[in-house]
Amino acid sequence: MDRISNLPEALISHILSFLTTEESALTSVLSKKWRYLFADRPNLDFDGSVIRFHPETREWEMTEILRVFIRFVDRVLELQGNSTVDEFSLKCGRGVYPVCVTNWILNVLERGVSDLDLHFNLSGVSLPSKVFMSKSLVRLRIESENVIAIDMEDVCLPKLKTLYINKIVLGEDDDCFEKVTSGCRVLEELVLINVYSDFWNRSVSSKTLKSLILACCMEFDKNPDSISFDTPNVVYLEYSDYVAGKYPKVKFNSLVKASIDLVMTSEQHEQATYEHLMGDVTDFLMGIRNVQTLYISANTLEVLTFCCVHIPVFHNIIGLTIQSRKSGWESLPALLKKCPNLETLVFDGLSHSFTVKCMDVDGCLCKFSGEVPTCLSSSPVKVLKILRFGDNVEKEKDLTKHFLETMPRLEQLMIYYDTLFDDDVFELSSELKRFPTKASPICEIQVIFNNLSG
Amino acid sequence: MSTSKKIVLKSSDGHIFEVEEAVALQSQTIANMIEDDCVENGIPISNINGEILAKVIAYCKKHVVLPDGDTSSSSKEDLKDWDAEFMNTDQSTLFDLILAANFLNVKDLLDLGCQTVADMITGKTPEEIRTVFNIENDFTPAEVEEIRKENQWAFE
Repeated sequence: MDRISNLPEALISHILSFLTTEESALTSVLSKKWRYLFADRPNLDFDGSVIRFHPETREWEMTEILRVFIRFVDRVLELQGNSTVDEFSLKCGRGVYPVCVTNWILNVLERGVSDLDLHFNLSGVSLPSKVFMSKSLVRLRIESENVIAIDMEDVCLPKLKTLYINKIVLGEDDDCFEKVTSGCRVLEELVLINVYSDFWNRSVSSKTLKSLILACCMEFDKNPDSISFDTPNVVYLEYSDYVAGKYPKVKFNSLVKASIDLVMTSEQHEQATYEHLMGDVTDFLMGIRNVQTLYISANTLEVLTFCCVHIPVFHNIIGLTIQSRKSGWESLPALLKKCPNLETLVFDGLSHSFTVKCMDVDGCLCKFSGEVPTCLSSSPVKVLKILRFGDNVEKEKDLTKHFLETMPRLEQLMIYYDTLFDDDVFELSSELKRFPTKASPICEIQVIFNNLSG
Repeated sequence: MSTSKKIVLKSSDGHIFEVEEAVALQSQTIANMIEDDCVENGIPISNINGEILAKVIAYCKKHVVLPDGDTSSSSKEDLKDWDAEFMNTDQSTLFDLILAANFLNVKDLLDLGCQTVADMITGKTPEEIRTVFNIENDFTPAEVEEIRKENQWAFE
């Protein structure tokens, strides 16, 4: 018995809405009853990027395939008439006429779309400015492979909670970030990655923002003049940018977790010396000093050495991850001393480069100076994790043993060993377990196999 | 723990079910009736038989949210396994459950049932779908061809 066709039409359409739009369209040929049911759905998704243009595909074939795709989207939207649409997701590759894309977006905006997800690889297109004037949008995501421009005159998105923008030129002025935050009064999540706007004065100000990801366009190798954050309720921060000329306001009262990637320009790199600081990120650090979990990139480590007058005390830090990649560790002792309540210390890579500071006791964490730095001998750290172990096994083993014999409160050491052979894991594990001069005898040692080929 | 009210449900074939209020509240239909205060003499569910109603109640019991906000004692993975096992049944029961969940407005059960049917459709050609569900094709071959052209993108 055909139970499914005898369901009420609304239920059949509800079932079909759990499939992709394309897949549900296959049911249009099942029987007369099913012909149009697939189009009755509040969530639409169209993926035109799967058009793979093989080198052998001839020009007219490509045009034909694109025409079929465009016709499909047009048809589904037509069948939907004026019904409300909730989610609209569009992935579009080369060749889809920008004017079609604009029309589709305007169509769903008019019908009250609340979740708009656009992923483009279009060249020379300018998205309609109505995208920033919608009373219904709650979530807006725009991502591009080739940089495209959005005409952003006014921003009025009163219901928008999530905004994600990747590789877009936002308007022409230098206050697009401000336009965005002042036009989105209930914004909670903001992601701006490679947004080609606000080059010299970046300022984000929002009382409602809880999560902020700002990864600035790193192509221009120039320091911004001024960076400001007035975001007192942000709990999660990811920030990647060149060192700024000044940080007039950095307000992160509620910050819990942060990942910071501060970078020196190549000019700063060339001229940096220990005596002559190239910039100063002190004010930025002061603004994030309430954070509990912090990730520091290798670039940031460098910036702490050459562009920082004073590292504030991070009273609340219990977890600190340090990315080390052929970097000097000159700033590490000072940083560790400013984390008095640190419980978990993670090294993402254990690559240490010798610098002249290694000769000072408090100039590095290594053994070179002959004395044990106080940041290690009085370290509160209970859990030490080493990720991506295995780049230079002998050096890394030495450093690990040095930590074992200097850190008195260590309870757990976990090493994630990047290797092809699980024998290596066993060998390292036994060697470390047998190591006689541990500062903390109760320290539990675990070496975990991270299969490189996997 | 305070004594919770019990709601009486009567299936179409006369079976009586006594359920805790928290369990019954997962049905938006019943929740509305409780609010309108018309549940004194039990609620007759005239279009759901005892077998199916028992199953719906079992689902609601498993997925109950306790007054203090805690979900039932099972972990998320346990619930997923239970749901999968619950949906592992014949088509007749599956569609009865969907209709029952729709009538009683138990959103999670309705979505679970619909997702299960969608999983039976995905990846199949129209011919295969017809076979699985016994759908009779009342189109002429010419009509099918016309529709395939209309929605060509989906058929490529």
